[in-house]
Amino acid sequence: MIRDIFINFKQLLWKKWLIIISSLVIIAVFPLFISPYFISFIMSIAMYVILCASWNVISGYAGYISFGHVVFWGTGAYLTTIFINKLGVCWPIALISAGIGAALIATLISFPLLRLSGTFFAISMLAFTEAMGIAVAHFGNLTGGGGGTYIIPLISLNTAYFLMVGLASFLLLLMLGLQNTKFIYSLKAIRGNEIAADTLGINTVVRKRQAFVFSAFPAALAGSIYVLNVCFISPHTAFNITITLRVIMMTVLGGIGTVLGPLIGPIVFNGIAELLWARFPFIHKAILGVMVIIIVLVIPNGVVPLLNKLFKKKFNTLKVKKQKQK
Amino acid sequence: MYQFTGEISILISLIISGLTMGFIYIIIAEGLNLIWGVMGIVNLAHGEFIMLGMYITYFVSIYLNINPLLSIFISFIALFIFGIILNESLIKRVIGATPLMSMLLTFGISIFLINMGVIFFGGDSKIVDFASGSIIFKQIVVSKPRTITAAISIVISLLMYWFLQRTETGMAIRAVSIDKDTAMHCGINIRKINAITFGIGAALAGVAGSLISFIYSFTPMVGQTFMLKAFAIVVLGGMGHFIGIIIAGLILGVFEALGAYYINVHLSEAIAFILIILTLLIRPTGIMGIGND
Amino acid sequence: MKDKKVLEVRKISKHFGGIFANKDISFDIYEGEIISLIGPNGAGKTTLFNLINGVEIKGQSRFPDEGYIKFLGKDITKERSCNICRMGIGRAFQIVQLLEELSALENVIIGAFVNIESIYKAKEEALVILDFIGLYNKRNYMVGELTIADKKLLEIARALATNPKLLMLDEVMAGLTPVEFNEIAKKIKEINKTGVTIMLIEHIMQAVMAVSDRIIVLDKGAKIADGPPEEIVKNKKVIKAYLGSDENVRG
Repeated sequence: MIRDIFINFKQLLWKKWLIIISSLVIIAVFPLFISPYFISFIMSIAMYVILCASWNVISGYAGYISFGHVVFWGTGAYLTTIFINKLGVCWPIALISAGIGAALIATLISFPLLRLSGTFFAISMLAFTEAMGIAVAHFGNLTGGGGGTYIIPLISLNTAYFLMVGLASFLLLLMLGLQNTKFIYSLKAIRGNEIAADTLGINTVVRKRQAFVFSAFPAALAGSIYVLNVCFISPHTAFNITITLRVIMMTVLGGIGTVLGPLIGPIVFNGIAELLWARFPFIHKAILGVMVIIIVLVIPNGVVPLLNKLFKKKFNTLKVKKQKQK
Repeated sequence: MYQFTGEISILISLIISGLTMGFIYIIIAEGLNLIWGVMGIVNLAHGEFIMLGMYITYFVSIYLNINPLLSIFISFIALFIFGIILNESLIKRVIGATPLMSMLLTFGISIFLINMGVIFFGGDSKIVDFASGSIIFKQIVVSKPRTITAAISIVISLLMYWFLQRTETGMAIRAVSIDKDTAMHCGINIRKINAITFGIGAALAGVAGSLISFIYSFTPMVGQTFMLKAFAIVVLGGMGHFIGIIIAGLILGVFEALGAYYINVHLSEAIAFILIILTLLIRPTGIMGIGND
Repeated sequence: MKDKKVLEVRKISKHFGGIFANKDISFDIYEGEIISLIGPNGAGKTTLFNLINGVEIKGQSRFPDEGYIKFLGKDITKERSCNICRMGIGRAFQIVQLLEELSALENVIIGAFVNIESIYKAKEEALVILDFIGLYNKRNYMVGELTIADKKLLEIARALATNPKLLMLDEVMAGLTPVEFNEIAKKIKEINKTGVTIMLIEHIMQAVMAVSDRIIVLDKGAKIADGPPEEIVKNKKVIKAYLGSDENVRG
């Protein structure tokens, strides 16, 4: 199946290769030209791209909508602080270990939780997130308790930028390559009709677990990079349902179950949020609420499928990125 | 004459205290359950209906000098109307869509309401001055506000039960929650029932909010926690089962009270979530539920 | 060919809440046969299929209360349905269980993935099967866009793609016009010629009589007859079972 990924890439038209490579080059040289504020802005978009793309795997492709995705992000951040503060490891190892730790936790809870379906799975993930937040606040010796915990700055803003943006790019490209593979199709089959998928030889239990762990790992890495950059994390931030809901919203806005959805969603959403905050500093949050309502009622399938229909051809690869000028 | 020891009287006080909150939780959960069972909508804005009830009581009692008890009626009517308006303008458009859509829509409404609340009411803590003081019986201490709210909650729950079992509208609502298509073929106007159900669900939450305002201080953000607890109760009690919800609500109230005293306040908040997870694992249909979803 | 036993079912019983859906059922199926499972409504035919297939019935366990089932000599009584599929049993459901939001081609590709790793090979295989079944021109239609007859064909195609040794078809002809179900009957015979053993649940007696090597009759959960079509037609118990119910016997 790995061979399939490479074959998929080889089959991309040269035009798409051009777009991909030029986009990568552009974002690689960004830091030379823009202000630190804008670097942070792009980084936060990239973080949401990672969260959306990973959430998309279990919720978009496999159809198991999770309302607790932030728990892996928060766990990644906290594991990083524990590894660095309590165990004294260097940050690259802390980063990878945080990802692995979160993946292990995901594997563990997948046994009970993935037996549930639909709304029950969604709510149980929500409950798990809240429980994690409370547990972290409780075990203060390890985690710094409810007030949060600090780490000393270990990486520069630019390093954090490259890590976050690099991870986002890698993940998007990976999803692109995975489009035409047994893995993704198995997940789509599970979403399409889980019982039928079982009778078609797909080991749904194992596949769901794979998708779930696959979605946890990048989210944890994103959380790790976040805390390495911001140097502070608290349970309120780490396990905040608002982050989960933003991820869901952005992915839905972009197009759930598509490759570009997790890219376009965060860009559009954060772009609009930024504009709103600049123009209407007091009521911008309320307007966000209105935005959510409008998205659900007007474009429930997201932007990418809408564009698909408009241009009448399968756009499941990259299109020209619109640069957000500040 | 039997004298309760200190330990036991504390325990009994806690249990009673927990029960009083439990009765309020039941009302919240009933509203959520109605909306979920009848319309298939997962209402993430339910907490904000509670919040609105709190603030209605606050403003009505302070600015209009109306007895807080009367404000319960005002909450009910105001939230009922608000619920119907919301349904007709927004909610009914996602009936029949995937649960995700209703969750997102109600989430958007929730964000909007919370932030409008912060703008109009201010983010600071408010409190409603109602009755105060305690009733003491043989070393068992029960607060007066809680006693009164518990009594009112029980009355409301009984009224709801009577409504659902004995009135034509109530039975129509139950019919739709059991089998929408059959109900439609029996001539029940589904759209009207949906609107009424959402209105009642919101009204129940509003009333619960008014009652809670007698006990706790509140900000525009407190709705979320209550909503999650209501979910825990609906899941634990088994969707659709009135009695299950009663039992689950009381269990949650009592466990929270005991947990807050014997363990600590934070972990007692986690009890709702632990209960959700445990229930879903051990008996996904809840204490009394029949299989669904 | 007659000697190799494909499926061995022994003393299978299953009850739900007081009703015996299957009572002490035993039979064998040999390689290359086409077996039809018939009986009045509620006789327990689909339940038996579900037990063989390992498919969960709403809220109940998927294991028989008693008895065992062996496929190609291996005990599959408590095996998971995905493993049963890998071992070589393909299933088409009475109410079509197609994969939603996917195209016809994608549905068949997923079936082909049982034995193939690469999507490109799976796609080739899927196209061959779609061509055979007659859906090649509609291969890119979404499942929701297909007619009921096409859906039934796709259901069979999907099961075929798993390269089964035993194909179980549950009322694939229900709701079709005579022209349509004659087509399917022909396809079933062609599939059988390639060496696939077939077990059908069917109500349409014309088709049953035309394709079957052997017929097994169930009534109220128990097996009441097992033999070639000529015998079954004359079997008194069978006739009584059908006349005793509202079943409309055609042909």
